[in-house]
Amino acid sequence: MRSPDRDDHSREGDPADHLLVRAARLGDADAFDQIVRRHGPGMYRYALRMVGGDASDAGEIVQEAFVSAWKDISAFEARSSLKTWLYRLLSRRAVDLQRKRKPTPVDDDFLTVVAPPARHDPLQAVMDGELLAALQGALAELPWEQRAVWLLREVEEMSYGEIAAALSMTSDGVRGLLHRGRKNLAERMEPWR
Amino acid sequence: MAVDDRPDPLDRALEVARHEETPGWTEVSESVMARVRRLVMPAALVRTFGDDGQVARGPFGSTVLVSGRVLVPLLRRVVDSPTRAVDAIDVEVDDDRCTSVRVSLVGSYGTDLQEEGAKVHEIVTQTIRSVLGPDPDFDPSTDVEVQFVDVVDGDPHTT
Repeated sequence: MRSPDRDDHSREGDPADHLLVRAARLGDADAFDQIVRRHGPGMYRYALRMVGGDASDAGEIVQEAFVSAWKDISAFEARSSLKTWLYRLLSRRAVDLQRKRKPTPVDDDFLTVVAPPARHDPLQAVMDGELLAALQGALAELPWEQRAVWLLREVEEMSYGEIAAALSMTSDGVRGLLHRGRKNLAERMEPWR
Repeated sequence: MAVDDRPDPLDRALEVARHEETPGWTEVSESVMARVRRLVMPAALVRTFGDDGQVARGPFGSTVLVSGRVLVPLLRRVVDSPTRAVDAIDVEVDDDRCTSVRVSLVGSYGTDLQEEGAKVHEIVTQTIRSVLGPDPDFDPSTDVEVQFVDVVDGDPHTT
């Protein structure tokens, strides 16, 4: 029987994740397209922050994660949710990319890659952009796991259990990393007070 | 003691980050789907049989092979119905021969699953025979397996 509390991240009227997975397993690319459109924007935002705002790197690892998901969708056994499985695939690729590349400082181009929310107030938009750039700079100084946990919890609003599954760690580990990540980021953002 | 009531800069940055737009996403999603649709999944080739049960056809002994990739979508199309949804189809190929077909289904409460299963078994048998021909070693009574892996309230395609 289907679990009534299954969290499928679908909007009312849209097919639930498990139905899309079922169709994609049978080779239905249109169903997979819906999966990409549902989970991709959050994954891309997460990827951008993980790789220091480089749109090309973020696009590459998101693509790799989805292509891998398409190839291996038959192996997805729903022990975790589709969302955490996709983020796990993406996080692995982000780690691989980091191993390949030396850390690079954040430069002014970052603002052209990730745009702040559209606002009618131009001054506020500039301030938001500067604040985001400062956040990106602070994130870049954090150890990889602290950065990943903070982003998944605070920006993507995932539960501790989901983060633990996505990053292959324990929930207690997630709590510890989140605590340290928050503290480190707060210290680095203090000059913006 | 003075109380600092200015919003925390990290909280402000977080609020902006949660609502930020990702302008490059449309291009990325298009690239993802273009790659997915171009991707050719490896699939085994399956021998077909003539009406006489032989693989070799005609004066030159030609053989006709069908990609295993063709079989799954075809079976899905013929098996799916308003009262049952295909959950998985496994086509096993050994030594270029289709040796078994396993179909997993999701049914709905109120339908006779025995009857549905028997219907599906017959549909799969007929479809395999029409595509691959009469393989004398393929015994549908043992080589075609149909099972219901879940039963749901209402339409199994949307539940």
